[in-house]
Amino acid sequence: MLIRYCFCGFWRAARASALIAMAVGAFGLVGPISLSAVSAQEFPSKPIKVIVPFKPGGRTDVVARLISEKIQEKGWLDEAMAVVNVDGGAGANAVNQMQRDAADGHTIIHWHHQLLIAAAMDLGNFGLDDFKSIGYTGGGSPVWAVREDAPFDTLEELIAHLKEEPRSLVEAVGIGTIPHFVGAMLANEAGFETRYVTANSGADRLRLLLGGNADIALFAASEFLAQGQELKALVYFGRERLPDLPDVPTATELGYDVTWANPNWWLAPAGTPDAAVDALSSALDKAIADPEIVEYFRNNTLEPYWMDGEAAMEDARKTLDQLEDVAATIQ
Amino acid sequence: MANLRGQNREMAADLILSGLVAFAAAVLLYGAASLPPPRFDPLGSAALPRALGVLMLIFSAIIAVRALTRRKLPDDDEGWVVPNEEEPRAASPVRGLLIFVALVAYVAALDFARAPFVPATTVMMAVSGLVLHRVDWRTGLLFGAIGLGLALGLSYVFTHFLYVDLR
Amino acid sequence: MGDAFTLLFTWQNLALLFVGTSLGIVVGAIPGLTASMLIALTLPLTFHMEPVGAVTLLIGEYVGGISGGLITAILLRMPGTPASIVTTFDGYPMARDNRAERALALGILASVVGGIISWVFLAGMSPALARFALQFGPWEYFTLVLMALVMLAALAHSSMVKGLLAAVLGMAFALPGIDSSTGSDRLTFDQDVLLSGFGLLPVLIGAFAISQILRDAAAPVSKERPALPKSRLPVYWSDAKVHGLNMLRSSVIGTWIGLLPGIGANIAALMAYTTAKQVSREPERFGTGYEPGVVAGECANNASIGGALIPLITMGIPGSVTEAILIGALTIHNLQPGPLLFQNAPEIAYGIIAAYLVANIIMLVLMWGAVKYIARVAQIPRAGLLGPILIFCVVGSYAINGSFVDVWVMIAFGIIGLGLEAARVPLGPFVIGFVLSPIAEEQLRASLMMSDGNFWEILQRPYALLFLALAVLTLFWPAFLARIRDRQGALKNERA
Repeated sequence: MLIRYCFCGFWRAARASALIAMAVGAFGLVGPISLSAVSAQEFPSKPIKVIVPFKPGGRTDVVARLISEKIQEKGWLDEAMAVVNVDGGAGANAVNQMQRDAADGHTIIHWHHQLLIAAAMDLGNFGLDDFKSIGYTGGGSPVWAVREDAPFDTLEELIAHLKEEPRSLVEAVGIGTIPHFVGAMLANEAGFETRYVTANSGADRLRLLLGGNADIALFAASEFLAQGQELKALVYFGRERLPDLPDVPTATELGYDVTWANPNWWLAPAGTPDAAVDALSSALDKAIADPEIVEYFRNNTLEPYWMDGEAAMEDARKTLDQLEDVAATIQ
Repeated sequence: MANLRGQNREMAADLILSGLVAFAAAVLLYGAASLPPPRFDPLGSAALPRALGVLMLIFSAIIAVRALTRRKLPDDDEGWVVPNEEEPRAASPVRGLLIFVALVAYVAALDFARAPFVPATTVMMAVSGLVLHRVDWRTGLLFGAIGLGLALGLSYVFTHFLYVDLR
Repeated sequence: MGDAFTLLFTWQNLALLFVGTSLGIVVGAIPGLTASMLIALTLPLTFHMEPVGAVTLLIGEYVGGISGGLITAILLRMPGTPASIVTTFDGYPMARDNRAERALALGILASVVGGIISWVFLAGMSPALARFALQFGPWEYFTLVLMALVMLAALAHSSMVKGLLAAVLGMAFALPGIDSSTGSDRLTFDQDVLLSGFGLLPVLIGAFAISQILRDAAAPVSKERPALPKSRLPVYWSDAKVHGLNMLRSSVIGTWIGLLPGIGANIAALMAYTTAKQVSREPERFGTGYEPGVVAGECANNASIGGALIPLITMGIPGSVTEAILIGALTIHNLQPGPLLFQNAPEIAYGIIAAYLVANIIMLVLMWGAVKYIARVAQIPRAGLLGPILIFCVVGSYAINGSFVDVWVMIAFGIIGLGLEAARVPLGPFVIGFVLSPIAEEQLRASLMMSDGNFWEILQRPYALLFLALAVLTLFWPAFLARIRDRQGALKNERA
């Protein structure tokens, strides 16, 4: 009884996964005998396992759960979707787990551009060729922020200062993570240089910035809106201005060709049949247009949009090229 | 007599420890040798592994030298820890070893043989009862039953509430 | 603060706190099972709880786990947890002397008083300290963690070489994985499974739980049955006068010892006991069933929890193994303990503080009412306990990432833990070294990144210098003390 109450927030999800468990159980009973028959049947023939390469609770995890629940609620796929968290090893553990199952669309990954960074930094034995892209269901962009009392009000002033006195400002980044790459892309483009200080999470970056131990840091737009009372944002890395931050210019507007839109990227193993990928992408396409999902995205400074598998892969390859240029300067 | 044996045992333990630590230090230093030079900070990735490797070598040497030169046990060692008087009387390392073997077999069955969780756990519990309690069929049955209940409960909670697939 | 209590007083959270505290007491009462083991094993269960609920459960287990140990310490002279070792000194003689009820009553009362006094410090100091600690940068964090490492290695064990070796070994095992200062892999020997390093929980469960189970399995079966308490637990109004000062002093000592990172509840209890003995008018009666001995130890070990929670909430630095797991629990919920916790997640920061107070009160009620039954639970045949715990260890490690790699890591560290103990290398510094050295290295390298490689920038950092000085002092303090003692001894000899 008690346990049930502890998880009341997840009650709906729990009920859903009870269904999955029953389905899995039933499948297990029929098991080996019907296995060959199943593969010839239509997709999906059993619950779909969605691997999230992070611990529960982050953005990627929440979005995966929301969309999976929505697809199940509306019955856009004949089977349930179960989210499984496989953290660690810069995603290598998740990829290994994915490759252990058959490449038939019943095991997929929900990730973001951390995958590209892992590939650019050569972490783990995987690359883009190991995946078939299902598509992006929206995404979000970060801002670059300084302390409220900083002597710069615009990105130009900051860059001018850095060009006058190179390496005079400290940027809080996790080396080899998204904040580092985005900052380095802008630095390469604009021709300035900062000093770094290690900060592994948004909370660390905020602490260093507020405590005066760093001057610049990157924050997800939602983080900035929620916790950035004593900060000011200088530039937004999205393609267009964010409605919640109408006064913050984009980097492109300021003449720097740097955008960073971190997508919610759905991926299947490379050998997955097209029919399965199509079934998944049509369900995801419908989910991202659902009013409830759209509202959640808008409230969390994420942009809801659908980009199909091939376009997403092309976008990813382009971004990877940029990232590899930056990675070359790191390693 | 007993004291002397204890001394010898401790000396042997210290020498083995010293050897293992030296080996670990060698692995560490070998691994550190292939790390890239510093890039963002003057220390780089290899500094700490090297420092730890060297420290481990030093400690390993100190322990070996002490073990070989020491004549008398220091009696102030862990002065305030409660002495466990019954320890040597009926200790049975075999039971510990058997439990360990059972544990490894259990995990290997789950991992490599992909044995289903519930039967494997039932067997594991029965075995642990036989090893730890006494060897007769009633103990085996009783502990097997406890194991079955435990396994069913765990797999229910984990698959239903925690999204962990115990299989 | 008021909000935190209203948040806590949803009945789910109270129920969780109740469950956690009672589990903690039972586990704490059973010799061989410790609070850190319990918390490590229940952590995977909290992944999908609300963060406040998860933290509440774990705090309850922590408080209960440290308190429960006194029961078996008094009745059986087997400290249920290391924190209660001191309680055996006078508690067991009292029980032998047919005063078991009185010893239990005083022990429980002292535990609660210790808990409440340290709560006053926790609630009073934490918000201000957090504001202060916001200015701490990499230099301060590095020196603070260094200080903790040195203190632990130097104080936890009588053989400093082995204490330091333990810390160094723990640090070495923390090396494989992605180096956070370069973003590249290091010492992974091209094994993908090593990219995330050895997980904290598999290492902890292995080093503490598995090695303990294997040792327990090999240990002889104890035939001794405790004398269960018969009558009611006697306390008198006069106790406030007789023991009041001792309680206050021991609680303050316990809180401050707990505040120093890396030093556990057992050291706190020992310090309070020694102090009580030194200032007592009848020091010779300590160790013979003397009431103030029980009071001092039990006040201090509970007070140390409140003290240790202070650096945890305000700076995110774990003071003990248990706290390292607590930090793990918070980060799983995307909450980072540290100076900003009070701003970003006040419900958690104040929730921890409120839960700590309520857990102490629940502990009082439970122990007072159920001490007889708990004493009986502690006698469940070992065979019935070890098997299920082993299963829990396996399932718990597997559940962290749904991967058997963690289970094998757990088993490997069980062997390592067993081996280290056999060679008299203490496990405490080993695990703390494992937990703290990544922070220390990362912060040192971040400092050097920030200062463009100039180490002397530390001279402009007064707090960092202070921590560094304390670390150096701790390292040389025992040698210094021994030298003084020698000199005094020599003087005495000369006079004689």
